[in-house]
Amino acid sequence: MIHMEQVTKYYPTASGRRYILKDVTQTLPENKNIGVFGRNGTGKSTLLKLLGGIDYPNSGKITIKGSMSWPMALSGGIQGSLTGRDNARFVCRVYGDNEKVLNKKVSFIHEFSELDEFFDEPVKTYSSGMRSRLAFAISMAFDFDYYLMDEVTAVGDARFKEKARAALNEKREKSNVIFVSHNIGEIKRICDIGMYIEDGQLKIYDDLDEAAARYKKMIQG
Amino acid sequence: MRTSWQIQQAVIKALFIREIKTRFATPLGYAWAVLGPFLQVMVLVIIFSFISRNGYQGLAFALFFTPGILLLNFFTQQVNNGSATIQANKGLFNYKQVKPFDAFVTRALIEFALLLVSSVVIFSGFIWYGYEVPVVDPLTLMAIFCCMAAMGFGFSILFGCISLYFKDMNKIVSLMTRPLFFISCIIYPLIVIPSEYHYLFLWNPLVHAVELVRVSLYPYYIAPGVNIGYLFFVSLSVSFLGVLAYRRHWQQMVASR
Repeated sequence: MIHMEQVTKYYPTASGRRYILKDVTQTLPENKNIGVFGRNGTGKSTLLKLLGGIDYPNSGKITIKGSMSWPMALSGGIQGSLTGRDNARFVCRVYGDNEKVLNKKVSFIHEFSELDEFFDEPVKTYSSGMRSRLAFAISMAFDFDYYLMDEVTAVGDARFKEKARAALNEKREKSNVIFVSHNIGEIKRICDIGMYIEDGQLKIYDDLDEAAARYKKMIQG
Repeated sequence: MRTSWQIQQAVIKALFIREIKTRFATPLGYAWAVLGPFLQVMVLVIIFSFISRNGYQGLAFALFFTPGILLLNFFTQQVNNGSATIQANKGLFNYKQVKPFDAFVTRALIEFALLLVSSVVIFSGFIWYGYEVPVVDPLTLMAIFCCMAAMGFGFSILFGCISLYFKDMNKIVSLMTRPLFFISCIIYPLIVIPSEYHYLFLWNPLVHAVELVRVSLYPYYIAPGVNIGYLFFVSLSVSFLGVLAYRRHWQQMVASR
């Protein structure tokens, strides 16, 4: 369960406070995959960070029952100077896995990411598609109640996207995804409901077609 | 469920391994930790051997310079680590278990381990070469090292907090730390300074640390006015202020991107 109680989040800018969330009190629907959309800069990524516990509201309280993944994005959380394998090992260690579990997860990540020999190369030599495969594979090695994904599948090729979708579907029985994307088709394939951020408020669309219509309107202006 | 202590231990271990891997990517990386200060000392020895053959207070120049160089290197490195630690670990704060404090602890542990290892290796080398290093007061020596560890840790957090407000701080810091070489009794003993000017030197905790190390290593070495109590007081205050500042600023460190 995710509940927000009078949550306000803003960024101080030269021209005053720019509000991402303004006094939001809301419980997010349970057992639903939520697709988050909105214009650039409305705070989709910030919302994920708030939920992931790596950014903090200026006031108010976010209550989360259940385990929450780290926000998976292309930037952040992956060290360019380390190899894919060392990155995977780092995350396992942070989550306190013992050597046996760690080795199992690392070989899963190696296989799932299809990085083959690149797995032992520094991540800075990766293409963005390879990076996203690594980021996604690492997250799939862990069991969370909620997975926070920020456009992480956006750069993969069609085949890996299909694989990612299948893996997410498999997790679906126990877990849910909160998914940021600009691709409404992608949201439709993965998510059950849509969430739109505008003017510091969260609007939830139970019907994704309705959400898609809203999205179109947004793009057109 | 893991306790927060277990989580912190796991995180520091993970950060430690990562830091070692990136920092000492080549074998020369390890060697440089010892070779760097050793070469610095040797350059000073060569320069000073043109001035005098006797060393200071009957102490060979190599023995005289080494404690100062090692402590000064540790100190400046820790001060620079203030903003560097936040920058280098930013991406890893993406995992909510990883807190900036762990990153500061990890860096401090590594710097301190390097200080100990390079001290032991260099002095072993000197003993092997034929110098005498009697270590007359090992307890004071240990106390000084503990004070240096606490002071370095406190300063790194303090400067980390300041760097949140002044982005160009590391440029200013490197300018500020450079004179330390000349005012911290690295290349001369305090006793050569006329005693009416001692107050210009004795505010600096590094003077106390460096001179006290010499006093505790070598018999007959005299350092007027230095005081372990002062060093202890400064390192306690600095680490206290550091932790206080951290409590106010850690969220900013995590969220600053």
